[in-house]
Amino acid sequence: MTASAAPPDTAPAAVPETELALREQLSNLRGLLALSMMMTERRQLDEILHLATTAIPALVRAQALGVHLPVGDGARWHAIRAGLELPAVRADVLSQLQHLPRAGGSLSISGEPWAWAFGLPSPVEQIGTLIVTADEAPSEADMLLLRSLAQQTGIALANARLHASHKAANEQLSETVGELRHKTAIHDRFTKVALHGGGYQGVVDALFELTGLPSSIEDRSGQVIASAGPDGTDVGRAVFTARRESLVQEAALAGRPMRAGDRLLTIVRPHPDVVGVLMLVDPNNLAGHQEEVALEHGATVLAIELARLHGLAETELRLGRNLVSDLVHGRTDDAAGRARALGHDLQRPHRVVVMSVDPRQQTADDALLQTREALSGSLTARGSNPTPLLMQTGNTIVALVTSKTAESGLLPALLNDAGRKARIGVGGICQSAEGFPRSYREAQVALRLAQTTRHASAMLRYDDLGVYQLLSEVADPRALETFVRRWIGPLLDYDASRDSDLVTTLAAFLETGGNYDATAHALTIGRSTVRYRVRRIQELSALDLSDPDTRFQLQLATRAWSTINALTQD
Amino acid sequence: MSAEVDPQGLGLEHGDHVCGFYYSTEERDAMLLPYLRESLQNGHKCVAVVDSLSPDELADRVDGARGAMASGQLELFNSEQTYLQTGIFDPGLTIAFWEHRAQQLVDDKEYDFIRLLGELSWIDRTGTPREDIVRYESWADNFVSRYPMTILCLYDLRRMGSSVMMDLLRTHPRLLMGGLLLENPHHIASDDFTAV
Repeated sequence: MTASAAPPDTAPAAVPETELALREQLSNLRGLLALSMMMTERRQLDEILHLATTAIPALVRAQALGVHLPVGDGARWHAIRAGLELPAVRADVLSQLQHLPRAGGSLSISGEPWAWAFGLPSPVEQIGTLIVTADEAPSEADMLLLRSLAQQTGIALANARLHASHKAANEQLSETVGELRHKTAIHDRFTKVALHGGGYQGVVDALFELTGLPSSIEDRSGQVIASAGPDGTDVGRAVFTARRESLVQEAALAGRPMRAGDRLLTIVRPHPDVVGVLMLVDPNNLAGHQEEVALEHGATVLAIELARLHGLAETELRLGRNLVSDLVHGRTDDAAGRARALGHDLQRPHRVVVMSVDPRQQTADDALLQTREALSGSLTARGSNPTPLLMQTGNTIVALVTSKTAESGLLPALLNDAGRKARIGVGGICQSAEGFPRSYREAQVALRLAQTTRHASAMLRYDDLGVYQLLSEVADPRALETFVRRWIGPLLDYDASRDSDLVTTLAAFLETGGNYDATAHALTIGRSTVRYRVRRIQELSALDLSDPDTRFQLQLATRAWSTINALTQD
Repeated sequence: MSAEVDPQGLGLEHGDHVCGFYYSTEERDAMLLPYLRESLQNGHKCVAVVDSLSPDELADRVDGARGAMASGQLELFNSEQTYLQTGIFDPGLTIAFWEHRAQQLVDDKEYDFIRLLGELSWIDRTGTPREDIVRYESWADNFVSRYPMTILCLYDLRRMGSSVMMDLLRTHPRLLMGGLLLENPHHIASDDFTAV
C-alpha cells in the first residue's frame, strides 16, 4: 500500500463570481432536493419541522422564528425561537396571518428588521405557516429558496399525515381482519359442532378449545348438563350470590353475555319452557370481546340443539298422546309397534291412571309437564329412556303406566304436588292393548268416586273400590237405578226441586256411622244443619234411620247412586 | 470501482469520501454496520471513531469484531480519543491524528486497503462552527485521494439539524443519506464556500 503524492501547493485559479453564484444556487437547489427527500421519509411532524427550520441558515442569511399549524393537530406553534416566545407576540402574528394570502407575505414583528410568512401548502390544504426573519430582506434568489423549502415542507407534512392516516386505517383494517378471522374460526368450529351433531358436549368442548377457559352448560335449576376443562377438570356447579332464577331473567333481558361471580354466562332460551345456561369459568377476569363472541356463537349452536331436542321431545309426546288416545278408545291397530317405537312394551302389565287437577293450584299444562318429568325421571331411573305415554283432556291427565309404577310412591307424590283438590283414579290391570279401554273406564270411575264421595281418599284404585266395584260392574244399570229410586227416590226429587243436598248429607251421615260431628266435618257445614237435614230426610223418606237393616239399604242406595253418577258422567 | 469495496451497491469507490446522514438509530446502523462488516470480510484495515455508541457496543454488534480488534485489523475509538482530544474540536489535531495513522498503515504495508469511519455527532454539544466542519471535510476530500482508502463520515441530524448537511452537500460531490447516494455535480470548493 502506498500513498499518492500530495498535490502541488499551488493556488487554484479564481472562479468567476457569477459562476460561483450560479453553482451555489444550483447546489442549494440540490441541497433542497436532498432535504426534501429526507423530510419525505420522516413520519413525525416535529422531525420534519426540525429538518426544515434548521436548514434555513445554511440556505440563506435568515432563520426560522417558528411554525404555526392551525389544522389537523390543533392550532399549535412549533420550533419557536426567541422573538416569538411571548404569547402577545404570537397573538399579534396570528392576527396578521389572518389577513395574508395563503402563499404568505410580509409580517411586522417587534425587534425583527425583516419577517415573512411562508405558507406551507399541500395538494389538498394549507397546512400551516413558516415564519422566517432576517437582518435584511433576502435576495430574490434566496426568496425562491425559502418558498421552495416551504413548499417541500408542506408536502412532507401532508405526506406524513397521509401516512399516519393510512397507517391508522391499515391498523384498523388489520384489527378488523384479525377479528373477522377469529370470528370465522369460531363460526367454523361451531358449525362443525352443529353439522356433526356434537350436542352439548361438542359445544362446551369447542368453547374450551377456542377460549382456553373451562366451560359448562347448566339447566335452569343449576344441574350441570355438560362441561369441559383442562385434563377433564370437573367444572362444577356455578354458585351465584344472586338468586339463580332472577339471574337467569336478568341475563335473558341483557341479551348478551354477562358476568356473575367467576362466570361469564349467557342464557339460551329457544322456547319459553326450555332454558340453558352456557358459561365460561373465568375467575381471573381474562375473558374479553373475543371470548364473548365465542360464547355467543356457542349459545346459538346450543339454542339449535335445545330447539332440536325440544322439537324431538314435542314430537315424541305428540306421538305418545295419539297412542294413548287410540289405546283408551279401543283403536289398537299397530299400537304395539307404535309403543315400541316410543320405548314401551305393551306386553307388560299396564294400568290407566287419570288425574284431575285443581285449577286454582295448578294449570293442566303445568300438571302435564310435572307428570311428564316425574314419569321420565322414573323411567330413566330404571335405565331406559322412553317417552312417557300421556294425554291431556281438559283438566284431566291420562297416563298409561306399568303396574309397577302405579304401585310405587310416584302417584301419591304427584298428588301431593298437584294440590289439595287434585284426585287420581287408577284403573284395573290390562295385560294387552285390548284392555286399555276397560282400564280407562275404571280409572274414570275411580276418579269420579274420589271426586264425589266425601270420605274417600284423594287417590282411588278401581281394584280397591269394594262394593262400588261390584255396583259399577252390574250388567243392567237400570236395576241399580230402580233400587236407588226405591230407597232414596223422594230425597233425589227433593234435591232436584230445591237444589238441596239431602242425598249427599245422608251418604256422609251413613258413611260416618251416624255421627253428626263427623258428618258436619266431612261436609264442612254446621252440626245443627246436619241435625236439621237428617230430620228432614226422615220426614221425607218416612224411614227409621235407627233400624240397622234400613241403614244398610240406604247406604247401599247412596253408594249405588254415586256409582251411577260416576258411570254416567262424561 | 471494486466490487469488494461496495458489495452493498451504495456507489462507493476507491478514493471516495462520503458523508452519511441519519435521523434514527436504524438509519445509522444501516450505514455503519455494513461498512464495518464488509471491511472485515474483505480483509481491509478499518479505523472507526464512534460517538453515538461506545466502541464496545459497536464491537458487540459486528460479528468477528473482537477477533479483528485483537489482530489489529479493526481499531475502534471514541470522539474523546480523536476529534475532541482537548475537549473541543481541534481540526489541526484531528488531521494530524488521521495523517499519522494513515502514514503508519501505509508504511506497515500489512493491508492493501483502508476504510476509515468517523461519526461527527458531537457538533451540537461542542458548539463547533459549521465552517470548521466544512473545512475539515474538504481536507478529507484531499486526504482520501492520497491513499488507497474510502472514508465514511456519519452525522446525526437529530442533534445538529440539517444546516451542516446543506453545507456539505454544496461542497461535496457525493453524500450518503440512509442507503441513498446523492451526487452534486455543481458543488463548490470549501474555500469558495466559506468565502461566500
